[in-house]
Amino acid sequence: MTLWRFLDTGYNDAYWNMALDEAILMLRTEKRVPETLRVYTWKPSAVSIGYFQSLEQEVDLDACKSLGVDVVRRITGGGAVYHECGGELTYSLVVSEDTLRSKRFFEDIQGSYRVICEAVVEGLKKIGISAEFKPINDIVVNGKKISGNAQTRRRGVILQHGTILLRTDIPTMFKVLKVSKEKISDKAIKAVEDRVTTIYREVSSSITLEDIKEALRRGFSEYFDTAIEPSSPTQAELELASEYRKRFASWSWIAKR
Amino acid sequence: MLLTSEYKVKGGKMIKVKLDVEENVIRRALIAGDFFLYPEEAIEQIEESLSGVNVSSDIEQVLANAVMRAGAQLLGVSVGDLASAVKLALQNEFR
Repeated sequence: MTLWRFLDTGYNDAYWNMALDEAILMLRTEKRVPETLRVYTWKPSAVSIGYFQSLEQEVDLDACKSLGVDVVRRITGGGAVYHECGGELTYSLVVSEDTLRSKRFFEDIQGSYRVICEAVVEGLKKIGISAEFKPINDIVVNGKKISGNAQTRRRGVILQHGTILLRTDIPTMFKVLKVSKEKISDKAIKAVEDRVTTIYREVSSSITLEDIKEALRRGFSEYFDTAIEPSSPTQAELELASEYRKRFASWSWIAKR
Repeated sequence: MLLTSEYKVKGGKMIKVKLDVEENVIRRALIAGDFFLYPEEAIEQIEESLSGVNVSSDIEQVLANAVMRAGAQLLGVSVGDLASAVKLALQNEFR
């Protein structure tokens, strides 16, 4: 049994958040850092789009600008996400494929989503939420989405990151994401509210971010049967993340597609 | 001529295609969407495989070959779905 790390990197901007995930991934491929569970939040609020998405098709850049919302392209696929400052917790897991190989369901990429999402589900259980994995990349409570997840791999190492909703701000989400204008009706907002749920709705809004982070740490620790000890990013990670941050913040990357 | 399509895949993912077509030949293709593909960079090879392809070609075969050559794995969409999205964009002109 090897020791895993738990990093709580707090509030940072979108570019740093994405850069640090990639830095941990790359240094893990060189075995310079251990398996890592990271939790983080976004300040300012931001939209992240999937690697394959077209910026102009998904994001209303004028609305983002006027609302002070950053825009970043992820290295992972999947859809556009509005990360509201204080409205969600994001986790990332950087783990070797070899470490997960013994887990049931791990046989293919879809299976690896299941395995890692099951650990999130275990964490949610700790705060009294009964959730389940829903293929392809969601976690739901009574059929309503509470978490979206995305992953990529480099040389035998998986990065999976995902959001866990604390509350929703659907009107702002509709402003910054390009949804057809007729969707911005009260009815459409209600429709999204019916398909999505949040931690605050499922349990009490008196639950703190710290409670949820700790629940995730314990959930992952039990699910993967390993100690996960609080730690800090290494100097090498911080330096590499600073370098990657420039790319994530560059227009050529953001508007790549 | 710029042709576009939005193709909703069973299971929920969306494929958004943009094609630049001249004289019945695809010059450039963009295959965007909220699907997953590993390795991610393979999308460029897959798009490139459509360049120079006649609109009456077997699009699915072209894409299947490109996915195989890139050693890529799709999640959330199939090669058939990608082909359907491309063909939908082509129909938007040739209907």
